[in-house]
Amino acid sequence: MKIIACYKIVPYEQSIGIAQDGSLNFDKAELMIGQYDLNAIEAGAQLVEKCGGELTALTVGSQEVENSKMRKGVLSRGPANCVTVCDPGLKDADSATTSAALAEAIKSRGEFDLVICGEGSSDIYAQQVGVQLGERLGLPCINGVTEITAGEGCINVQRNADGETETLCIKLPAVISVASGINVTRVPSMKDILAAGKKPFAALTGADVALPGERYTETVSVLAPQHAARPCKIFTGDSEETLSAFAAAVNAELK
Amino acid sequence: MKLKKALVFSSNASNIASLCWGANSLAQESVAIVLGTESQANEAAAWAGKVLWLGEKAQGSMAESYTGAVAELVKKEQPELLLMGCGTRDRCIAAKLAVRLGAGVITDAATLEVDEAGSVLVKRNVFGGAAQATVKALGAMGIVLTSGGFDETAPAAAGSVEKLDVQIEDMGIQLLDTSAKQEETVDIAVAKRIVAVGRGLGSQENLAAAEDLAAKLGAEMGCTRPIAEEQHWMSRSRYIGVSGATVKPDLYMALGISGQVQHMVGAKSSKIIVAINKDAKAPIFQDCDIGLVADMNKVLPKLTQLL
Repeated sequence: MKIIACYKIVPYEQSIGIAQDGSLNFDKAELMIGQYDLNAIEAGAQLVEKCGGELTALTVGSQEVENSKMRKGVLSRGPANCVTVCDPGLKDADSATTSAALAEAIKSRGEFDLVICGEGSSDIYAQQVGVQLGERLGLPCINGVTEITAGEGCINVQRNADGETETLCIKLPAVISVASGINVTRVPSMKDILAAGKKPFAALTGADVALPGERYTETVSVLAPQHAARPCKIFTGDSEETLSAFAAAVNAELK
Repeated sequence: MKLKKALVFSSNASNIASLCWGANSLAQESVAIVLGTESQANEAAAWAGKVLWLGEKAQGSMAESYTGAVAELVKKEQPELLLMGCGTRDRCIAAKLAVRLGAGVITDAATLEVDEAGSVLVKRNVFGGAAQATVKALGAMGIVLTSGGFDETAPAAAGSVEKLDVQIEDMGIQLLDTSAKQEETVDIAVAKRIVAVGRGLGSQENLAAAEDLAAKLGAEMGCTRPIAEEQHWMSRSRYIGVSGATVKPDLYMALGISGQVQHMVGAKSSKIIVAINKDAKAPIFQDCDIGLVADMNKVLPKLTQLL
């Protein structure tokens, strides 16, 4: 089966700087592979390991997508190759822009059987891109997938939707987004990481892929919420004395 | 300023009332599309100026295959806003509608308002809850997904119910089986005391000790995402965080939880946060009321006696 797993490179939340006025500073922000996208890559890798075929990892975005450490991180988790589409116009893209760019990138790469997306991006988490992408490609598409089994020209999946479990037969080619509980993502070995550096990748730009022009949403502001500092009364150690003092402090609050 | 018309749809008919209250507060006219029983359609008429009733979901079909029918009604009604719920099905239908209608989708709206220029402004969490974005819907219509929380509002005039004959579409997906999810569901959002555990708890033996502590305190058990989805020590309904539950108990006791923002966003409204973790550098020690830096294996049973 030819599978494409989509992912997004995002800033690691804990490393985003917050100024006094609540505005965010990304100067020192570290990058990471979207945590829910790791589930998509893992699902693709497991399917290929079981049924054969090839897994390609695909991302679209601005310069962060070309970070070699991130690309190797993705390639060390199973994909045979990786495609990045980098364009300044994709900075702060919403789900419509991202899914449209992914659709164009996929169309430019030829045939495939299955596209797998994560539940949502770690930064925006709108949980829209998978189904929007499927719809743009005019293919069967569904979200909330918790189990995938390959069939003849189709996949059988389990899906959790609003308290119901469904068993679905989805005609291929198709696009699915997987629930975050679908699998436990692998920790790549040193061998995987070394091999990742030798795997092929294609670094495309807006010149190679037709990118969408129109935007449907506009982010007016992004601010960290103001919250009152807590007292942070910290006890250290496990001596009888410390535990009694700690317990007394907690008990005083419980009264 | 108010919009001229807001449309409401949810695959879950029990969301309709609350979404209509939102529509009434934001627009002069509200129209609800109901996929459900006749009595659900009639109920919706108390809250919407007009109800377009699609009938009950056909046997063996999925709510998602009504997307085309909803899209046609949206085109006919031409609202400036389509309000939907935040469930998995509504997210799927919204994504399909967005592409077919050329509209933007804003999900997980915490608040919604209409500005002076008549644009819909939505506040929602981003970066795992580390920040809140204000997002504006551009174009003729925006699709906004919200889990409700609106005050009860009545429409200008009681609504009429119009029964429609609609076609369901072939999605290339066959529904082979459907069953109610076999998992414990807990409404942890209403708990007054919570003992929550994270990966730093260490072992499953410590989980039993944590449960003893919770029993002593009369607390519900909660957890971080890895505990529910990777360790499977607890059901997903006990998972607190950005993609799980949001809680506001009087006491939140975090055992072996480092304090990642994606988790804390779900717990930050707690009155008192007590943290126990062996890592003195864990971020939670900068955002708690009382903390204990200690090895979980050594302190849990003793604390159950002391608290």
